[in-house]
Order: sequence, then structure tokens, then C-alpha cells
Amino acid sequence: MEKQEVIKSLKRIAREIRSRTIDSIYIANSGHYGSSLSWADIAATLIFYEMDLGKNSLGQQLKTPPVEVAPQTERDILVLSKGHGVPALYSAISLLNPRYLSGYSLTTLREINSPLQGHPVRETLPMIDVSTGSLGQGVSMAAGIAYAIKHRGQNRRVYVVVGDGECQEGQVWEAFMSAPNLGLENLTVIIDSNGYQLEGSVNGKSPQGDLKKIFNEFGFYTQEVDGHNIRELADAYSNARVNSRDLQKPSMILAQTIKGKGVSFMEKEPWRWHGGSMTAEQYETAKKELS
Amino acid sequence: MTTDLEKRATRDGFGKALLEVGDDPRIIVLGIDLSEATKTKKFREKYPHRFCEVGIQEQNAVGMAAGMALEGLRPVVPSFGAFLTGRAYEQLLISAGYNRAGILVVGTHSGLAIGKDGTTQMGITDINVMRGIPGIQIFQPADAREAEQITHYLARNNQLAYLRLSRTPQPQILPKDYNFIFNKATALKEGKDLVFFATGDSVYNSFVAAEELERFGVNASVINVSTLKPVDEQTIFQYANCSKVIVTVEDHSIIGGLGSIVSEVVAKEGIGKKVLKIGINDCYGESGDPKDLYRKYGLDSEGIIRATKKFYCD
Repeated sequence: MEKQEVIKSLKRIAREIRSRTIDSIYIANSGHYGSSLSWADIAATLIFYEMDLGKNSLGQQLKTPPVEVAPQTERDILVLSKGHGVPALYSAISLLNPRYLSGYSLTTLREINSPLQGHPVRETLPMIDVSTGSLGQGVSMAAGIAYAIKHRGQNRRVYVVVGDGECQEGQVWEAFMSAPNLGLENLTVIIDSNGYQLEGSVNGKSPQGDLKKIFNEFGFYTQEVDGHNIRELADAYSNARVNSRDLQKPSMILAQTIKGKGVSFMEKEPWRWHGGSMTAEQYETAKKELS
Repeated sequence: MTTDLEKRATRDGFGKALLEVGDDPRIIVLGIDLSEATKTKKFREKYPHRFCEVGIQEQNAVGMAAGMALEGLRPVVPSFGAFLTGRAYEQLLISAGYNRAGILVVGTHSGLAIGKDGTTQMGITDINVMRGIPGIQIFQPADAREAEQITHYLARNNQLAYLRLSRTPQPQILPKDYNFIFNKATALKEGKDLVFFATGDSVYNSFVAAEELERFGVNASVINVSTLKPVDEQTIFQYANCSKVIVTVEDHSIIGGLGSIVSEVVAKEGIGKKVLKIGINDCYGESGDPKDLYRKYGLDSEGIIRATKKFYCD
């Protein structure tokens, strides 16, 4: 398939992830719209293109649903450290293989007994390999998984998606310091840099300085991309794969994103949409824009 | 009762056993800049490719270990109990516990017994905080030989576990033919009047206290409770039920440790007896020689006898 075609398909998938995410959070009337939408393109490109999901869904190939995902220890791993963005992941899984919701619809998000917990819970669904939700813990776990994989001489990669607000947690920096020193070249960290956290802008709380420079200094192979540009994301993942291996360094991708991307009234006032709830009118508008 | 006079700390028993089980390719030891103090240095020298040094990062070490466990390894995370269970509590609760990641957390330097380094390095609330983690198992050996046996046991399984160790050399208190059995509290001395439930270094002092009490006509049992969670409720019930007085002894806060564990069993079974909890009395420690500290805080055999006599006579 031509790259152009792949990108077109991934854009369609990302739009569908957003649309389903809006449905599930709207019906649940609880959840994080802005934080889910900001990483929808990152998720689509990772899951439906970059990651090796085993069996017939190899890495760097467009996945054609329904996809059969291999067991955890036989494929690439995605850790969603910013666990509150999980509605986008549930939507992606439902697209990957509708059977994977095991009979539950996406609109059972956050309902009692539903596997679609408010934050990801390990093994409730295929592809949910790590329970997260308390911010700051995912990078270490991803690094541990990467270490184990490398230790066993396997050729699998680990991807971890972190929020920029989440980077205010100290543990994240512990992991950022040690991962390059341990030579975890099979680890790719993606920072979903949407600029906002629960109560305001990230820079207004705890400015982080020149992250690209900092991560280079720490010993990451660092790239900065438009987190909504599928081609840039796909290329960055691919560069990470090749250059990490050659340089024996973990990869860092700073993805500049917009909170609530894809829904105009959220993009205009991203600070309102970390959580937030929608009116029926807003829901109609959002769905129309994503159709 | 035979007591071997050779003195070794429980951390030494752990270090020795870790080397013995070191061949197991599943075992990875996390380094938190304390390999000498935690007695993992020899493992590091023998198996450098399975020693993962991260630096002074308890939270990251626990998180990484949890990730490794999800991939089928058996990570061992050794540091001072105070730091691991304090600084990395939420990582133990969520990254390890909630993820069902079977890591072995080894907290050395427990209690007042560490001595001169003082309060900040003493694990005095570690059992209390670890107990609340759903599914975790907690162990504290009475002597170095039991520490070896528990380490062998834990290296083989895949459970999330906390092993509490001490740095102070102790006499071997358990009989030569003693064999650690999971979740089994064992009697070192049988008596009909009162029962000492003790754990860790306090088992020895309780034993000495019990022998001394014989001179005053008090006949005491001494029970070593080395599996603290789950706990051998049957044995606790059996001895608590037939003793006039119940005493717990531990180098840990009287809140949330063995004293609380035994009290819960006594209440649950409706035994209806008072429990004397000897331990660190809801306060912080301080620097000093371990012997002096034990005397001041009433954890030496004399302190145990004094408190027990008062309680017994009341």
C-alpha cells in the first residue's frame, strides 16, 4: 500500500477513535474528553501502524481489523501512563477487534462491573497490559518491561505515553534519568504535550524549560513532532526504532498536541476540557465535526 | 532449647541465601545504591548482568521491578525498609500490588536496632503500611538461619512479598532442626501462664525474658511469628486461648504491627483477654547504641520482664 493511502486510513481511524471516545464519555457523563482527544492521532498511528501486535499484525504495517492480538509477552507493549486518557484506548481496541470488548459496549465506560474502568486495569481487555491512573508510575513500569525484554534478548518494543502535566511528578524524572543509563534502546517515550492540566496551563504550574535539550542531555534520542500529523508521527516512530538501536539509547518523542483536538469548541478553550461535561447541543456539534 | 551463640544479622542470612538461589535466571536484583548495606553486593559481583542499578530511586526501582515481574522475572528490590515502604508506598500499592506484579521487596534496617544512624533510617512503621496492600505477604525472620530459609522460599514463588530484616547481629535462637513453613507460627518454649508472641530480633529477647520469668514462678510460652501476613490464626488462637496473659513484642510501632495483628485475632475469636503490646510506643526513635536504645525503649529482656510483670500483676 502506498504511504499516502496508509496515512489516509490512519486519519480515518483517528477520527473514528475520537468519535467513539466522545460517545462513551458523553453517555458515561464522566471522563476526560480533552486528554483523550489530544492523543488520538498518537494512538491511531501507534496501534494501527507502528506496533508489532504479533501473529499477522506485524509492526510498521497498516492493521486490518479484525486484528488478533498476540499474548502480552509475544508482541510490542503500550503503557498509557496518563491513564485518564483511556477512553481513546478503549475506542482503538473496539476498532481493532469488536470482540475484544467481550460483549460490553463502549458506553459502559465507568459503569460498575464493566471492564471499561475509569482508568486502565491490566488484563480487563486485550492490549491493556498495565494498570495505571496514579500519575507518574507508567514510565518506570515501561522501563522495567523494556529491561526484561532486552535481558531475554527478545526483539520487542515498549511504548509509553506520558502527559506533559504528568511530568511534574518526580518519579517520571527518576525513570528518565535511569532509562538511558540502562541503555533501554527498545523503549520509546511519547509525551502528549497538550499544554494543559486539570487546573490550568502546564507552564503556569511548573515550567519545564527546553525539554528537547534536556532529554538530549539525559541521553535520549529525542525528536519533536506535531502530534496531530500522522506522517510526522509515523516517521518519528520509525526513526526511533532505527536510531535507538544504532545509538543504544531510548527514544523520546515530544508530541505537540492540542487538548480536545478535533472538536472546535474544545480547541478554543482547552483549559475547560481536561474533564468537563457536555450539553446535548455540544455533543451534536462535536459528533458533526467528527463525522 | 539450644541456642547457638554465633551471631549474625538477618540481612546476612538473606545475602547468603540470595547467592545460593542466584543461579535462577528469573532473579533480577534492583540496585538502589545500597548493595553493601542490603547484602546484595556479592550477588552483584557474581551476576552483574542480573543486577540493575538505578541509583537512589526507590519509586523508580519498585516501578521497574513491577514491569519486570509482568514479563515473568522475579525481581528483588532491597533497600532500607524505611525508604522503600515510605517513599515508594504508592508504587508498591499500585505498580506492584494492583498490577499483581510479584516482586520481592526486602526492607533492611528495621526498628530501633539499627542504632546510631537514628530515626530517619529506622523502619518503624513499615509493617503497618505494608499490611494494607491487598494480597501482599509479609515476613520477618527471627534469626539469620530463618532469613536464609525464607529467602529460599520466596525466591521460588511469584507472590508480592515484603521481607523485613535487621542489621544487628543476633544469636541463633531457633533450634538447629527448625524448618520455616509458610504461615506457621512456632513455639520455642511452652508455658501455661502467659504467651509471648514475638517477631524478628524480639524473639530472642522474649525468649530470654521468658526464661527469667520462670524464676518468679511465671511459666511463659514464646511464639515466633515470622509470617505476619497472612498470619497463623490457629496457632495464635490456641496459645492466646489457654494463657492468662497475652503479650506481643516487636521492634516496630505498636500500631499496625504484630501487636495489632494478634489483637485482631484475639478480638475476632472472642477470646476476651487483654493484650499487652510491647514495641515502639507511637513515637520516633533516636540515635544511640542499639543496646542503650533497647533499654531506654523497653525492648530488652529486662524491659520486657518489667512491662510483663506489671501487666501480669494488674
